[in-house]
Amino acid sequence: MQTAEFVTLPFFFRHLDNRNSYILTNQAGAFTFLENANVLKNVIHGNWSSLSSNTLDELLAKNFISEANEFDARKILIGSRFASVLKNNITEPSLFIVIPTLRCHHDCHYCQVSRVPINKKGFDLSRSNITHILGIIGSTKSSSIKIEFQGGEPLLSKEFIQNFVQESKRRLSEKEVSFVICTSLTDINDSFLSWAKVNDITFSVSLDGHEMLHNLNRPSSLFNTYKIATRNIQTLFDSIGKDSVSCLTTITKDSFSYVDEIIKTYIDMGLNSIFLRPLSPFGFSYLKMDSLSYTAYEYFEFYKHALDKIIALNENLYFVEETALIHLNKIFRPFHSGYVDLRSPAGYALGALVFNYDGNIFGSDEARMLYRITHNEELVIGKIGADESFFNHETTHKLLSDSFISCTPGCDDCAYQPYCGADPLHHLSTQGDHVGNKANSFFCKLETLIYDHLFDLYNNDTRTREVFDKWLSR
Amino acid sequence: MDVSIELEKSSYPEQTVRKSLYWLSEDYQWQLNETENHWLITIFVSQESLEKATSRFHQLLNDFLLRHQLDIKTQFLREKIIFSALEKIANANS
Repeated sequence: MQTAEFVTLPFFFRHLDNRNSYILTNQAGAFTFLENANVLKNVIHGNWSSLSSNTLDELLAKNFISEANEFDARKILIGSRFASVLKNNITEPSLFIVIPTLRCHHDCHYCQVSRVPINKKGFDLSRSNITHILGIIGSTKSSSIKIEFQGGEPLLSKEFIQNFVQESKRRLSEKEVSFVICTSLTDINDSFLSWAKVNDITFSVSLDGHEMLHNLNRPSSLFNTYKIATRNIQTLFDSIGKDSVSCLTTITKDSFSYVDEIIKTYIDMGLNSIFLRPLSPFGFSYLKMDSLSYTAYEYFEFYKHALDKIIALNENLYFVEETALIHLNKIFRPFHSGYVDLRSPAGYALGALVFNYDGNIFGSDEARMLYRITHNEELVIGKIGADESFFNHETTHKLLSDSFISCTPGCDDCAYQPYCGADPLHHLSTQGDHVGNKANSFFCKLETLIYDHLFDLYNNDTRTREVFDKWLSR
Repeated sequence: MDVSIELEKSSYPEQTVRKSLYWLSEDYQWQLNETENHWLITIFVSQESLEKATSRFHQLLNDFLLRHQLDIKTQFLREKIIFSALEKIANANS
């Protein structure tokens, strides 16, 4: 191969500590690995004759270098791919979160939304707001949307939800609409189940592990929350079908000792996926941070251990870990990911809108959680019923302009920039500004550890790669 | 215990030194001073962390120096790619 005419194209790189190698990525989303620092130096300094033909072929194929006569074409190709990803993230919202009530009968220590007791007055969204909310949703351009009912416990307001869904079907008939209720399933009954089946409602349920752990994380003074949750998940399976339920697991310090029990609970329930997620720095978990919190390293050790076990289980069954799949989708299928987090610019108001029980509109669920403990009016980007554009709200502009990670400190030269995103509300909550110091960021540290691990597994473990490919083809 | 490191300004641009120290903040406290020709860095560490801290700083310094050298070659192109991407999006929306 003639090696004199190559040109280096822009790329990011990162040292991978455990193998002393380097990962290279670029704005087109391509990645490759170099075995050591000397090879990296040769690429950067253009010592082409020192590189093997395999390395040169790989670098050319993935647009890390170019032959001089192809330079303009490759530049356009990278630019087009980068523009497509960026454009994919600059959308109108397709996720609409409605909070019918903040009341709940659980006493979860980590409650992110700071719920109130079930008899408390003044924490319910009035039915008169439904028309206004649907007017806003109807005016957005997204043709395929999801409406999520969250709380508190939304099933304490069944009538509101039923009215909302019926009215949505009439007012949003030109859109493809899916409905999700995020619930503990405590207040489900036969007539509601029948209605849910007819209306294609799906349910997102917290299931933190086996009985001891679930009840420890999600206690109630009124009942055994584990027994109610698992019994009603089974009821949903039997009456509507397995696809009607997805479960997610919030990991507390107490969860760290129970990896096997958590996974076994999901397998025994007949679930085919688990969504492991850390505590969020909002609500009660923010206020009790000292007693509840852990470092990103501590969480990652748990996560890695759990992921290893889940990958091993896939020898005999199909069982997905959703956090890993979200990240794999960001790497391999960036246009197929509907995930509103891990975006640049952030998904704030562009990915989701939240209609709160008190009539306030927020650009993300985290913003309403943070508002609940700070009462910072800057987080409110609109009021239900008011005639105003929340896309032009000063907070929306400020927050989004701070969330382009190609130009924020700590992110601008990160190798995982093509797959990662900004989390301005996390940094506002933990550090007091939208950008945050990434060297001290739980979010940044955890994302980096997860990407390091996934790339390492994908590149060095054939069996794991087969499992990941199976998950990606879902 | 403190570790003192002296670097020649002609070999290490300010941005390279500051970016390395930014990430070193994750684990260690430091101080940056300068003379006409040198960067004077002090890292505050315990005796048992001394080697680890020094090694971490030099790893960061080497990587950011390489990024600086890469930027000299490709920064204009990177900016051009971002500009043309934004222009493409603006044109599509107009």
